[in-house]
Amino acid sequence: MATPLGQFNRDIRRKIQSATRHAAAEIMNDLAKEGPLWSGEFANSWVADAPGVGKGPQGSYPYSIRDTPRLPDTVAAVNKNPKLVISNTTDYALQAMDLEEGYFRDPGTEPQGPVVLEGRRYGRMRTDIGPTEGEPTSRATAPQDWFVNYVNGGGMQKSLENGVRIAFARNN
Amino acid sequence: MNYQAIRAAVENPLLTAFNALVPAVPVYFDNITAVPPNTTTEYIRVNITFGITNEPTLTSSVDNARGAIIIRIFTEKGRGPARNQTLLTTAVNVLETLNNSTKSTTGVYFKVGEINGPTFSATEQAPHFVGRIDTSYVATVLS
Repeated sequence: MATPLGQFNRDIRRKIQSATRHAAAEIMNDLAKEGPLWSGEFANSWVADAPGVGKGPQGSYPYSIRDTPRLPDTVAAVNKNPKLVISNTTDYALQAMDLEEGYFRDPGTEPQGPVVLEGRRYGRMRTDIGPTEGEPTSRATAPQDWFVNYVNGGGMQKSLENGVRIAFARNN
Repeated sequence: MNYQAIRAAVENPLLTAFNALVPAVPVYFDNITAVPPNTTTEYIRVNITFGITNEPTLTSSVDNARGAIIIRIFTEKGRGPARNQTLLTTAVNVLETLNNSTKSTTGVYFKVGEINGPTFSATEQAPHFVGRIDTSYVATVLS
């Protein structure tokens, strides 16, 4: 039978693991909202894996804590610092995050997300789209460097805080 | 809030540094669509983004902004990384200089965070070898 202090410690460990999972879900939702949204494939391809524990389930936007892998709440596991690695499983993820040049073509369908830039393509980065006097031939549905701005501009930090707040506000 | 002053605090020293090189290397900032007509010509792209403005807990000042600076160096592909890394060093030196500024009563007080990278890419379709660094910043408009 667990002592009251032992049970308290276990509850704290569960909260820490829960906060990690909630923060991951918050971040995946933000990434889906901030990033390009054309067919929805990219937004629905964010996953959270737990190194040494297992791969996370392939969920879809909107993501919830159920789309993150369960983390062990033993003392040893928590002492190792709970870690989740968020990634996008599409093979064009780096181009979509403006981390790499690529080859882009307008699929001819209407995007699910708002068009933030349209015109004529002049370069190989996703948002290398300049003005044109004719019909626009290229469109983008997320601003340039949306990913780096989310990470460095304070957005991700807010999501982490929200995740912790949600986890510790819950009774279980 | 004076976003233009923040932007200028980054753009001006970068432009000065790359113009001082021999030969000078063209620098393209946000919303500039011009690219060299000869696609293998080396050039620099600097993008500045704004994230959260006037976050109350950031500092006691309410006129501050945070965001990211992304610098991409385009050099000829297939010639090794040396030239690209030389230009990256110029960019990193400028970013480090930004952190040397002291807080006065006017202007923009600027602090950059850790510099991520450089990372390099050379995709099949593109004629350039691309070096890339990015960093976070916190800027406070003092005047």
